[in-house]
Amino acid sequence: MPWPAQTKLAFLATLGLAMLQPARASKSPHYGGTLRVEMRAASVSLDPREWKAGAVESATDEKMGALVYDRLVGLDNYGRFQPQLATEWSHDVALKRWQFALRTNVKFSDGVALNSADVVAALQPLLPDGQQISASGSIVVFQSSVAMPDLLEELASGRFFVYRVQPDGTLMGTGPFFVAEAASTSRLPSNSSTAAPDSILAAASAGVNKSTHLRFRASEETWSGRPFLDAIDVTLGVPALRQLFDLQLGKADLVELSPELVRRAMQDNQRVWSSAPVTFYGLRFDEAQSAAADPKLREAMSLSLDRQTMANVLLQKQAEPASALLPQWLSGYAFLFTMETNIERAKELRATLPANMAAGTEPLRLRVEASGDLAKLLGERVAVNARQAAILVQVVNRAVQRTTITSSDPATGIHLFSWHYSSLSPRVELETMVSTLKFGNSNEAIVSSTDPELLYARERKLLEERRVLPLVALPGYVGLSQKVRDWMPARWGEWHLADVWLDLPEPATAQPGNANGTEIPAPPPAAASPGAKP
Amino acid sequence: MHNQVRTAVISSTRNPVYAKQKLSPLRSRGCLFLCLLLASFFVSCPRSSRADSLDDAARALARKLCSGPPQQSVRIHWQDSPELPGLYTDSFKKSFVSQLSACGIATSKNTNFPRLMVSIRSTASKILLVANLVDSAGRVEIRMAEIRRDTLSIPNEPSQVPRLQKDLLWQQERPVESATEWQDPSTGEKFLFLLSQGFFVRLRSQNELWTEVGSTELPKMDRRSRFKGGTFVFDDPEAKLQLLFNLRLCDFEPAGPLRFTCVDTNFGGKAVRISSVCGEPPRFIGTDNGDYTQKDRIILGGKEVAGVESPDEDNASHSLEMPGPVLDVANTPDPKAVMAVVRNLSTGNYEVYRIALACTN
Repeated sequence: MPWPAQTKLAFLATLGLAMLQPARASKSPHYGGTLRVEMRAASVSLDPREWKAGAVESATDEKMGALVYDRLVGLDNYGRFQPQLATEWSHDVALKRWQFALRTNVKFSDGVALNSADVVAALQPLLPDGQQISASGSIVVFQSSVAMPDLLEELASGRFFVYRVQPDGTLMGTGPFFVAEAASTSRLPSNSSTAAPDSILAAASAGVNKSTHLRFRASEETWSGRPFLDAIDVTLGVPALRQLFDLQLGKADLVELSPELVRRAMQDNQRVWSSAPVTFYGLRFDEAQSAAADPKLREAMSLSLDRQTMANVLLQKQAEPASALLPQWLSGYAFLFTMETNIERAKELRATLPANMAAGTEPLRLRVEASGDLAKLLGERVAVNARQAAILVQVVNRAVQRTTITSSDPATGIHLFSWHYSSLSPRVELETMVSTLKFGNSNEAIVSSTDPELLYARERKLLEERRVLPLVALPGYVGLSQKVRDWMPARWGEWHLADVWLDLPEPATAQPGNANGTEIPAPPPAAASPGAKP
Repeated sequence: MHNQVRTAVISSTRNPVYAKQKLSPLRSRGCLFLCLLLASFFVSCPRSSRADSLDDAARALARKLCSGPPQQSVRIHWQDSPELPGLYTDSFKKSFVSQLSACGIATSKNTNFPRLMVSIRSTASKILLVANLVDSAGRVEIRMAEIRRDTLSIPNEPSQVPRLQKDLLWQQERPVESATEWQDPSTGEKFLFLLSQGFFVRLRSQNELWTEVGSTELPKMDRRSRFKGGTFVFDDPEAKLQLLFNLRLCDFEPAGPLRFTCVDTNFGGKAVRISSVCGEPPRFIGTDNGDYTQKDRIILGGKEVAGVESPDEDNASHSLEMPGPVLDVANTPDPKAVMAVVRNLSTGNYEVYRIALACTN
């Protein structure tokens, strides 16, 4: 039969895109709506200069910062560097001098044009010692006495956002959103407007810090194109269980799921997305308590740890046992490391040590420095494991820790810490971890090369010294309502909310003939799934 | 005065974009010669772990093993990347093994020989090749070489679907919103039109290769959009190819000057049908449900609008596996073909496929 000649475009339009994806109520992306986000963090800082390396709280800061600021470059999920505020870049043969050409016609959210001096002023305080940045016309130049082979990875991640400091100390960004309200009253309804005029800021480091509710509004003039969402309402300090309830009840569109609630959310057919492992938990020995300086005791402790049980039972398979400091997705070589559990060998080692070491009246004190119930549980599990090897560990939780540690406080032998990975350069991440947590030998020169063999050797040495013991690594979990579309995050946890749109109910008075106005019944999804095609 | 010297230059794609920069001056030709000599020395140095392709990286890794403790024979075990499977090509293995043999290391399946595990792993920005050699005394030697992920290109899987057929016409890194193919009836020339980030791009087929012959910016809209939403529509009664974007329907001359005449419209989309050469009525084309993180399928529907349903898993003849989410399906003036735009999940490239319905038994 020949192709029918009377197929009219109007008919085709009426049928709409429903024909293309009949199994889902899919529509073209459209503008509008407010995304309601709930987060556990009680406060947020939008000043990248204040963010602490490795702090779990900085993960929230970075996510919020990405709404209002841009970086010079980005990295996509396919390993390709993408232009953001810089459109092209080059380096000399020695990789000691890089220059970035800035995008033209970029404006801050107050309408002021971005220039290279702004970039220099923003990034210089964030750069490590030895790296200098200067401006020359619309070019910014990074220079160092040593090679910077991973400068792109550095600039595409972490706190390397471009901002402008206002005379009053507030910060302005060029990103897809700006802070419209920063209210201190929690649990505000999304349509409330209690913010004082002076709180309508680009991003105020002090004002935002104390807020429990933030409203970000779409920037019409952003170089990357106006986001689909009109606004994002962020409520801070919401407990994990409350977040899940709010997601189930349709009171929130995007929530941070804690690991122990992931299975429950999935059983409830909620959409759950997980990143690659981004938070590391480990033990750091502290020679302030003399027992911790004994290599045999550290080895016995290491052999006693049952990481599989921690990940599979304690964390209900929502974490990975960690055997390296850097995750596989960052270093590429983590699979070469293994962490053995051998209670018998641990007992043998313990037997060679003085009987009163880590025993009786002088237990090995473990201070839980990481916040949250999960860290406390991990601390308790470490103590249980150690006891099986006849090592007595006393857990001191962060909750009972006084602000000032006095000389009469008993010394701590082990610290249970958490570390949030923020750099896309394994070299930077490893060296930042070592210098911040001080578990490396201070006499050792830091690795400035990105040669993976050198990085591997450095990490292996750190692990073999057993001054730090990996425990588990956790992905970030997000629960999404069904109306969140085009959820396309980076696997290392960046959310990319500027690309998200909301599948909102169509207005009842849709114009005839407009396919976008055609109401399509939404069948329930077959399974919880992240993202959704238009 | 500074000399202009050629430097290593990369762009967002890590490919050279321009090569003249005013950087550190070289004061004499002697200096330049010395630098070239040093550069060639370092390039040939076996310690180098930088490589421009996976095969280069394989050779670099093999050279590192050659510089280690002497081995006569090794037993190679290849371990694929869990994140990017299928990177071990014959070419890769050949490069590695031939480089090993060049320095006197033979490969064998004899279990008495030291075991050499070669693994490919990916990180956020790189592909890492890891050689893990365990000799008979239990000594372990680890060697690594790396390559940037963005230099990889993954070959497409051949189609194994008997009815629906796909043919990759074009791929590029920049986003493609829609594509269609058009043949000039007067000259017989074939054109491929793309909508890409606010630009209309025209390509012409020359010796079976598509070459860009022009592009123009789409008419300005009231406000910038993150998603242009453009698509090609083919109004069959008038045999006219049109462009639909942001509620505007635009006419253009496919082979003429790139100009658009647009009118406002409420049309929001289209249904796509395809004919076979078997004389059957046209059938609707759809895509699978899913999301941006999943591979997609082109599904052959029925003769009626409601006929596009997900086929049974084992009924592959009515569906065609695509290497990523299908972003757009557009008609072409040829009723026996439609054009699909897909984002390849392995490479991140936007790919344009011609989908045809073969008449088979």
